[in-house]
Amino acid sequence: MAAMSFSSIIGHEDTIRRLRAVIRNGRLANGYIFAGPVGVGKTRTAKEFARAILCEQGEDDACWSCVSCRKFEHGNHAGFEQIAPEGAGQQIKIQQIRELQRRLAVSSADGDHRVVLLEPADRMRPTVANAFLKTLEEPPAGVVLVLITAQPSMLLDTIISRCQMVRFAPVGRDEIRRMLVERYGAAPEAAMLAAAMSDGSPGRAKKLFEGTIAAERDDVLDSIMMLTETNSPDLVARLLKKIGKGAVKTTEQRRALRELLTLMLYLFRDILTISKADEGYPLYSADRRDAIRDAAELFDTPSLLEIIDLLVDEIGLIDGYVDIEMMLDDLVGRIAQIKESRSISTK
Amino acid sequence: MAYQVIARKYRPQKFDEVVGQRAVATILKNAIEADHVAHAYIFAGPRGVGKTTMARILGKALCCEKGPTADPCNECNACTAIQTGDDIDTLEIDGASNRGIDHVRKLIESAAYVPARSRYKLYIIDEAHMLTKEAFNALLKLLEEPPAHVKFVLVTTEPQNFPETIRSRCQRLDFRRISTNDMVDVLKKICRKEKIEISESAIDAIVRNSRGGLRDSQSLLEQLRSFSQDEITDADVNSVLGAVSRDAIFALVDAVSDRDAAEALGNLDTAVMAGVDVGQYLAQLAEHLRSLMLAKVCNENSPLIDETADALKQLKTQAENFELDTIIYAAQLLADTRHRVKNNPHSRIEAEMLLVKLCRLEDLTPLGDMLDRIERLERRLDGRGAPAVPQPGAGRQGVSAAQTRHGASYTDNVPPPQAVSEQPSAAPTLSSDLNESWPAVIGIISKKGTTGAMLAQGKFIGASDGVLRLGSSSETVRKRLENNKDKLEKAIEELVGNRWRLKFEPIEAVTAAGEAGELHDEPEQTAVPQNDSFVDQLVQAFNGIVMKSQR
Repeated sequence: MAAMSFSSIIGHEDTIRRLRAVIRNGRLANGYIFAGPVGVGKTRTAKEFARAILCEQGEDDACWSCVSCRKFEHGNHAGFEQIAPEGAGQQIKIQQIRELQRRLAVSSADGDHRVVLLEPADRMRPTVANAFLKTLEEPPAGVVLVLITAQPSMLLDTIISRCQMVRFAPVGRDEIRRMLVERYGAAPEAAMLAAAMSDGSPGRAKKLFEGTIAAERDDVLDSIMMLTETNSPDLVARLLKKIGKGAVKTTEQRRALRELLTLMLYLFRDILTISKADEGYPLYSADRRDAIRDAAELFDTPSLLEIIDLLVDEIGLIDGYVDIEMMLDDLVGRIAQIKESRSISTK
Repeated sequence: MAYQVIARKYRPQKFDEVVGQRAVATILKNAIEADHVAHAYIFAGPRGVGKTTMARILGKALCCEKGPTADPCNECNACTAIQTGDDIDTLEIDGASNRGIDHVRKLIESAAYVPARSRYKLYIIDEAHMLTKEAFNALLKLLEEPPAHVKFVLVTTEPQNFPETIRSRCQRLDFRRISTNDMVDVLKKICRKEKIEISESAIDAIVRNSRGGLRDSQSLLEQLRSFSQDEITDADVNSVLGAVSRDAIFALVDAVSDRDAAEALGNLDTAVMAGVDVGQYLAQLAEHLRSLMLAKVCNENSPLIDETADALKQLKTQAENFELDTIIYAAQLLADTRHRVKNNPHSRIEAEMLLVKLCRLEDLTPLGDMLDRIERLERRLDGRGAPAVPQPGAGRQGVSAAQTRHGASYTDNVPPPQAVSEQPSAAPTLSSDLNESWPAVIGIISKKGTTGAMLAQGKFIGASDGVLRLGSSSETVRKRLENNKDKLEKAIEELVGNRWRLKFEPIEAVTAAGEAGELHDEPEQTAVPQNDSFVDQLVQAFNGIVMKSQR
């Protein structure tokens, strides 16, 4: 079972090759920032990185058989810990950092490495991040701090300046598709939509594939094609039913609404790009290329730009105080209006 | 000895070794030699430029067994202890972790005791801007008149967050960003010593990305070396930075100048699939647009232009494809997109929209040229009689137009109290009688954010005596409109010129839906004046269409 651990990660070959070289060359930095979109495998990679650093064999990948590796697998390795946001504000708190500093100051008995994961590292208020600066720059010997974040721009300059930035790109569509087909027995076409809609996240692709994403997409696409100003209330009613209408806006509803609007966003983005880009340009709905092309006939570029702007704005508003019904009413109405005015002007 | 990272290994040990901070080093050296060392300093400046390093050197200079000297020996017990941060008299305090008043009280207590072995007790408070207000205040007395053996250095990236009272008690020394040339020199020197093979362009890319922070550039170099066997390639640099090559950005802008959206989108896709961060991609595009602008407006010897001769030539050629105004407008669109991309999971879609927009940009004609065109047109018309459309405020016809619009009547020989030209610059453009202009007003307002869109859901009941009555069947809608009443009233006032008080009334559901829709639909009057030669020529000159006409 030698050197099996990094290989379980989908994609990121270059990044992993580099991390292994760092371990091999014995040139570990004190602080790393693992930055990249949600769900692409940052945490997984960080854990394998930690496992390999801590492994007693001293190779560039974990051996899975030494005491350290076994402890790691059972989640009771003294040299590894994860710090996550706590409490109602979901922030990494100053006490957590202070306690960490105290623990790190007490040198480990055998002088071995210790690895700390902080995730998401952007959930730290400036006061807390500032308290962390000194530790980050000159931690006790053998300590490796890994800050994981999907929003590196939210980190303080002074934090970034003290760390090595390791960027995680979205995993390639083809790699994700292969994973879905090989590991989860997906049919190639179904795998394609899920892979394209996953935005390079294997985890999200798996979830989408297991769900009913293709059917929902077809439903929304058909609705957009048939949408007129007179039938827009019907569509709104259907969408509301999908989300689960209710007086109170639950987390569940928000998630459903976000998924729905994102689906619409992806569709309109496809409609926009299909008329602009070359044949091979990636579409989220590559399996419905013809339908997308038909839809492109119904909108002109300024309208599409306007609709996409609108969708992005509305998605941003979901977590704020909005009335779902009103939002959809407004949104669908506007799209219908834009669509109709276009069909009048071309007649 | 354990492996030490570059930034720590090459931390300067003497005043003259600190790069790019000559002024500060000179001041401190002179102060030491003349025995005029202040009792409290503020070291202020951006991250990674040598503040903490300088503070430690000051500590050594003061406490060196062979000192005080501007040239500490770096060998005696005091010097080595300070270097490793273990000294008992030079205390480095993390101001961010020890920011409370209790920490400061302890510090004040300890300051009363004479140093254990050195001449001075030096307190280096790093990240000092993080001290609480109370902690700062507790420090005031000590900072003003400390015992003769106590010195302070407050190190900070944000001196503006210090209370006035602290600032006035300290001597402030400002550290500057490190210039590109200095940074290149330092990196080259390190690479030589560490036997790292690296190209000039790779060093250039590292420095460009470090935004004036020497530590940033050293961290990057460290990172690059940590996985490559002492040979760093340009491809390594770009992939670690998550950046695209400059050639790719040139190609992108070429695509934009050809108005080739397919090519531009392909460029983006290639970059994203290679792992380039969309934010970084847009940032590089922004920098490129700036370079294009500079290439267009500056002469070649301008200090603003920081390019190799080849790159400048390439920039100049590319810049010729754009009007200056187009570049500026493109930069505005880009800035807008970059703002939206922050904290937005759909950054790729935003970037795609931007590229499509950029490829649709008509080259903007400078305003001056436009005016010339109008003048030429007018001159041509003068030969064939008066223009068919009255000029505002001139002649009787214009006045009567203004009169009817304001619903007032004036006798012919009395000039109207409010001529068109006298109106404020933000002149209302629509009729102040909402019964007439409501569809147009709502058309404009509804495009301004959700509140405006909400207003469109109200049904127009009537407008009279300064009160505008709107109806809606939904209580939620009425409530939200009511909450935003002031804003809405202002928005309407801006458009029509006078204040209407809004009143929201409940109505029955069915009619509301129907009529709110109708209002949207109401076609705007687009009767194009027939056989109007001036209008025709205007249309031709501007390559436009007639959208609306009003008499």
